[in-house]
Order: sequence, then structure tokens, then C-alpha cells
Amino acid sequence: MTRSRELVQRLGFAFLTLVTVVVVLPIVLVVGYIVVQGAPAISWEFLSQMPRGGMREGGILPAIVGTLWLTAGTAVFAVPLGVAMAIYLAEYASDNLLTRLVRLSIINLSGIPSVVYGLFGLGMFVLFLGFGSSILAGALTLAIMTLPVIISTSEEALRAVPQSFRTVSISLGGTKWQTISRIVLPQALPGILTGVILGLERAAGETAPILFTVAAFFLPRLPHSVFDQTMALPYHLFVISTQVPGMPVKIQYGTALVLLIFVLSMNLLAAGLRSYYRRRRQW
Amino acid sequence: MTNKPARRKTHHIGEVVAETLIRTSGLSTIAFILLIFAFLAREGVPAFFEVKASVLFGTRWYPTEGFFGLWPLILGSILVTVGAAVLAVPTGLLAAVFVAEVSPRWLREIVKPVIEVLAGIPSVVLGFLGMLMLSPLVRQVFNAPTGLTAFSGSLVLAYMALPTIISVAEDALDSVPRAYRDAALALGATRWQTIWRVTVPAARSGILTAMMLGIGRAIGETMAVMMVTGNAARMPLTLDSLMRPVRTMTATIAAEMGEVAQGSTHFHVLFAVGIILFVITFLVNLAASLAIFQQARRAERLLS
Amino acid sequence: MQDAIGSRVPKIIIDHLTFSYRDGTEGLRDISLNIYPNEIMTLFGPAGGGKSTLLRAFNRLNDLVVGTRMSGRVLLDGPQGPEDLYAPGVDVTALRRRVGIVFAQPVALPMSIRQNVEYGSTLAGERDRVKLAQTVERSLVQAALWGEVKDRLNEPAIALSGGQLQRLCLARVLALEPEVILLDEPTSGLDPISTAKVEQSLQELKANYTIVIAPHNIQQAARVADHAAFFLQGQLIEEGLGKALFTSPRNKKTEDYVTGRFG
Repeated sequence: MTRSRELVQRLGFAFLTLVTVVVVLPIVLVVGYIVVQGAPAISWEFLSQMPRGGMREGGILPAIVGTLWLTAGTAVFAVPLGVAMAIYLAEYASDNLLTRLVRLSIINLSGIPSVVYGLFGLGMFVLFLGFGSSILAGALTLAIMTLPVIISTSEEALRAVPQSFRTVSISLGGTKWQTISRIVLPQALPGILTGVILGLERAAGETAPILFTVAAFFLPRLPHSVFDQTMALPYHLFVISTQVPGMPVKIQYGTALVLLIFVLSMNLLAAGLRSYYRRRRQW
Repeated sequence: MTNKPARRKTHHIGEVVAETLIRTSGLSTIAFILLIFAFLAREGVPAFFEVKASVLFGTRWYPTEGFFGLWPLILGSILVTVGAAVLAVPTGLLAAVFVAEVSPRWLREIVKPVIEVLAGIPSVVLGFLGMLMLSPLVRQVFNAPTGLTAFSGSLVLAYMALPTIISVAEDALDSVPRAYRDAALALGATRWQTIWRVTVPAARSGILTAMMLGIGRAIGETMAVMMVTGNAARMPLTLDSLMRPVRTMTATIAAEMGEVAQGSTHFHVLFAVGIILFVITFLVNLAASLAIFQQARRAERLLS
Repeated sequence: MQDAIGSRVPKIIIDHLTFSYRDGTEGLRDISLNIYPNEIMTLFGPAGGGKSTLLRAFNRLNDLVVGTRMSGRVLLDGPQGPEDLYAPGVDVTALRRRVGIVFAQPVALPMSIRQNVEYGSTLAGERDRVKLAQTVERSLVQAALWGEVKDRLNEPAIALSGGQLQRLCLARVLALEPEVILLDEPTSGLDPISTAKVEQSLQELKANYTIVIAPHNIQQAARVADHAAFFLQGQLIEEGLGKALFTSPRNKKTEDYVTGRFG
């Protein structure tokens, strides 16, 4: 009796392992393939020069610069607002209907399709507020899209700080804000930082929100101000792989590799920060 | 009755300012949701006036000739999403069970980061690879006229939904109290039996949430789907539509908005499609968050 | 229930205090008690008696709990006579600097030993480095910890042992030069030697402070009490001079508890 149950278990575990391999293996293959196919295209020229010959030669500097601008802009808008919201939820909000509505709206914001964000950005920032297709419009759109991630990871980081710290601080004559600014927030900062990096990583890789709000394909110069349009890596990859005939495959893979490296290194940075601070934690 | 001890004046202004800012920001997400809906409605509602209902609910999407039938797009999204769900939900659940219950600790530390890497790969990169590698493969294996099909879309979407499903389901399985497992094992159950008869049922609302969130992600995906499904707005009514090109709502907006005159009927209809997407994902997320709240309340009752 | 001690002015007057929590359970029922300065007042009794609740009423730490209700008054003697702590407009943060508390579980703030002791002063706005250093030394001496940590003040406080940590918490409170020191089961997790050190410090401190302690066992209550008060299920059963209450209690319930018939 028990032997057949053991057999079932053995087969079952093997099946689960197989499924997990089916999930995990292609990821490794995908990344590996892009590295292999794209590495030959990577060179200092590729990264630092403007494109030539209708994008078919030269470098992708404007796309890289554009993505950096957009990521920085997203951070400027999303981080203060998102962290403030997390502080509100973790330290000030009471358990009432309003708070539940706020949480509901955060979950909903995180579920809205990226292309709908693009429509919103078009309607509100480009048209209604008159910013035009610009880094400003794109960054604002991406910032709202990134808010839910920053809010939830920051709130978690704040809640992880032991309650006993707050009690002790209050009992020594501290006000609520002093307690937050001197103890809770500094202790939660590593967790908040990790969340911010993960959020920005996602923003850097998005195409749909920037399609109608900032992205341009062929811009012969780098952006000067936030009111300029700009190229961006995800959009660049999309266009050169679907809309430019005769585009060398090597350049396509090279662009994909640069984007992948940009995004995955942020992933690595966040993970590294997380484990570094976990070890140095004083609680 | 008595005198008050002196207050510290200097700190108070800064504190009041900081606290006011924090409290007002607290309500901003509600404002954003309302804003998003408002701007979608502003440009999208005119479509319902400019286009006759019979055309909007027709079966031809051919904007250049004035055919704005939404059904091919809606059904296209449904087909691709259902296909992705069929592929991703069981796979995700099984993989989550593996990671949470079966794999040894050291393996977990390898598998989890890899899955997180998948979560980080931009959709345009997956679409790019899907286009160059997956669709020729699909064409060969299934002997189809083209590899850009609904099935390819489902496959890529399933992969994109997997990290969400796996991590939320894995969290749910992890939070099942040890006592449940220990009790089952003490009664003589094997680990396999414990997993399927005790742990998974105990985590079922979290698992359900995982699936809803994963499906929500699939519905809203744009770039990967656009690059891999062929973008032909047909009515996918028969089973072999799986192996034919199809058009989703998201791809339609992304592909056509760039070439549309601002303020034209086409422009408004695209926004109307956006409204539909917003409403669908809103409902899915509402259901998912109600499940989360219910689970929290149930846990409270269990522990009190 | 007053005892004849002459015309000394009480430091804390509790006047018909009743306190209940959001779910209706009563923490305290109609408590009236005087606590005199430069003495150790021991609040003792079985768990759930209201001792912690009463302690936290003295520095309004109960304000942090949602939905509580109270009636009655708590008065703290000050330079201008007794003040009602719960009157509207009372500066609660200043109150907490006058009435300090040491908790059962020692908590090291995530900073160095020196910064832990300075913390209360920096909250109050003190920035003079010289004064802060003097405060740190004085407080650690008073808490009988100076000798053990004076060479490692900049190390993280979390490295200290349990007994040292609890004395650090005492030093943290002493740095603010309070008038009243509250201690809630302060040595419940400590070994006998650390416990003895803390009790010794209390005996020295009472010369300059009013001390209210809720010990976790009756032996400590008997050891340190100048005055004692027995609490059972939120009610004050009996109070009196320390030795008398433990050797010849007047109330039957007190006697049953003191002799160990229930606990």
C-alpha cells in the first residue's frame, strides 16, 4: 500500500520538477540567445555614436540618452509622491472606508494596461495641458504608472520597522513626525530604495506609454530640454524590428541586448542592495 | 486650573507642513484613477455619438472605410487571453507548488531569481524574440500559413503572466501555517497527499488571486502581443482561428493611434476601446482585491 | 484609602480613575491612590490586574491605543501645584519627558550606545555637544552602566547583553532628568545579578526621583517596596507601607495572593 503511494509521490515530484524546468529553461535560453546574437554588435561606437544611414548603421546613443532622461524624470515625479503615500498608509491612515478606497485604487492603478496609460498621457499631458509630445509628458505618464510599485514596496519596508522603536521614541517625548523622520524612515530606506529601483526598471522597459507621449524614431540630435521629444530604447527596438526594411539583424539584437543589460542590471542592483542591508540591519 | 508646560515652537511649523503634505498625497491615487477615467471618457465618449451602434457592434474593423466594429478586437483579446490562461494557470500553479513545497532550499534560491529575471524582461524584447524565433517555429510545427498567430500570442503572453502567478501563489502557499502540514503528516499522509489535500486548498483564495492578477496582466499586455499575433482584425470564431492571425484591443490602439488625426472619429473610437480595456481590468482587479480582503478577514477570524 | 504619613504632598494623585478599552474590557475600575515623591511605589498583583494600564496612564502612553475611554483624573505635582494630565491643551511630549518609562522588553534603538542615551535630548532640541556628552556620562553612571561601556560608546547598542540593555534603557530615561520613573516588569527577562544591579540603582535613584514599579513577581515587589498597592482585575484592593502589606495584609484577597494561594 505504502509503496504505491510512494511511487505516486515520486512521479508527482518528478512531474513538478519537469514543469518548473519548462518554465525556467526558456528564460535562460532567451537571455543567452540575445547575449550571443547581440554581443557582436556591442562596441564603444555602438553605444556612443548617433545612428547613420536610416538607423542601419552607427550607434544608438540618442536612444540610450532618451531612456536615461525618461527614467530620471519618472523618478523625480514618482519617488516623492510614492514614498509620501506609503508613509501615509503605514503611519497615519486609520482602518476606515477611505483607506480601503485608497488601497483599492492602488491595486487598480497597477492593473491598468500600459497602452491605456499611453492614452491617458496623450489626453491629459500632451493635449489638455499642452506639453506636447515631450519628455515631460512621457515621464509624468510613466511616473503615475510606476506609483503602485513604489507605494507597496515602500509601505512594506515601513511596516517592517519594529513597532517597539516607535513606542520608545514616543515615550521619550518624541512627536509622531520626529519618530518617522529620525527612526522609521531611515530604517526603511534600504527597502524603499529597492522598491524604487524595481519600479524604475519597469518604467525603463515600457513602450506603450511612451508611444504617444514622447517617442520619436528619427531624431538627429539629442534632447535639450524636457519639452523635447526623444528616442528611447524600447521604442527603438520596436521600430527597427518591425518597420525598417533591411535592418541588419545584428543591430536589432544589439539594441535588445543593451536594453536587457540596462534593465537587468537594475534588477541586480536592487537584489544586491536588499541582501547588503539585510545583513547590516540593527534589528 | 493649571498652566501648560512650554511648547517647542521651532519644530512645529515643519511638522505641520510635512504632515499636511503626507495626508493630501494619501488621497492622490483616488484622484489619479478618476483622472484617468475622465480623460478616457473625454475623448472616448464622443465615439458613441459619432458612430452608429450597429457599426460599433458590427463585425468588421476597417477604419479607413468607416467600419468600426469592435467585436473582432474584443474577441481577439479574449481568444489570446483565454489561450494564455489555459497555458499559464496550471503551469504557474504547478511551478509555485514546486518552489514552495518540493524544492530544496538551495534550489529555491536559484529558481526564484530566475523567475524574477523573467518578470523584468521588457515586453518589447519578448515580442521581438517571439517574432524572430517563436513564430517560425510555430509555423513549422503546426504547418500553418504564418507563424504570427493567436496561439503564438497566447504562448508569449503565458510566459509574461507566469512570474506574477508564480510569486503570488507561492506567497499564498508559504503563508499556510506549518501546523496544517504537520498535522496531516502526523496522521500518516505523504507529502504529496498533504500538498494536494491540505496545503493547496488552504491557500486557495491566494491562488485564485494569483490567477486573476496573472490574467489581468495578460489582458493588458500590448507590445509582445502586437509583434506576434499578426494584427489581422478578423472574427476568431472557429477553432482554427488559433492558428491564424488575430488582433487584440491593445495592439489596435498601439498600432493605429500614431497614424490617426487628432479629434477624428477613428481617434475617438480608439479611446473608446481604451475605455473598454479600463473597465475590464477594473472589474478583474476589483474581484482580485475583494478576494484579498476576504482572505485577510478570514485569517483574522482564524487567529483570534 | 489614605495612609497617615503626615502632610507630605503627593507627587501623583489618582482620583477615581476608570479606564476601558475599545472592546469594552475594563482596564481600571475607580482607582484612587496617592504616590509620594522620593519613594518606590510597587504595583503588584496577578496578570490582567491593570498595573500596566495604570503605569501608562501616567505618561499618556495609552493615547496611542485607539478607542479607549477614561473617567476620573490623574494629577501630577509640578512647580505650580498639581496639574490634571488629561486637561485639554496639555503638552504631551513635555509630559513624557517629565514622566519616563522603562519597558519589560529592553529595546535598543538602531544606533550607537551614545546616540541611544542622547536620543531624548536631541528630540527636545538639545544640540550642544558638550552638554550632550555630559548628559550621556551622568545618565550611564546613574544607571550603573558607565564602567562597562565608557570605552565603546560608539558601538551599536544592539551588541549589549540583556541586563546591560535594560540599564541602557534606564539611562535613556534618566538623560531627560524626569521627575517620575515608571518601570513595567523591568527585570522579567534578566538574570539575578542584573536584577540585583537594577534594584540597587533604584534604591539610589529614589533620593531624587519618584519611582513607580510593577514587578513581575511578588518577591521583587517585597524587596523594593516603600509603599505597595495590590491590584486584582482592575481594582485596587489594598495599599499601604511596603513591609506591612506583605507581612500582615488587612484584606483577605491580598493575604491569599501574598501567601500564594492563587497567582
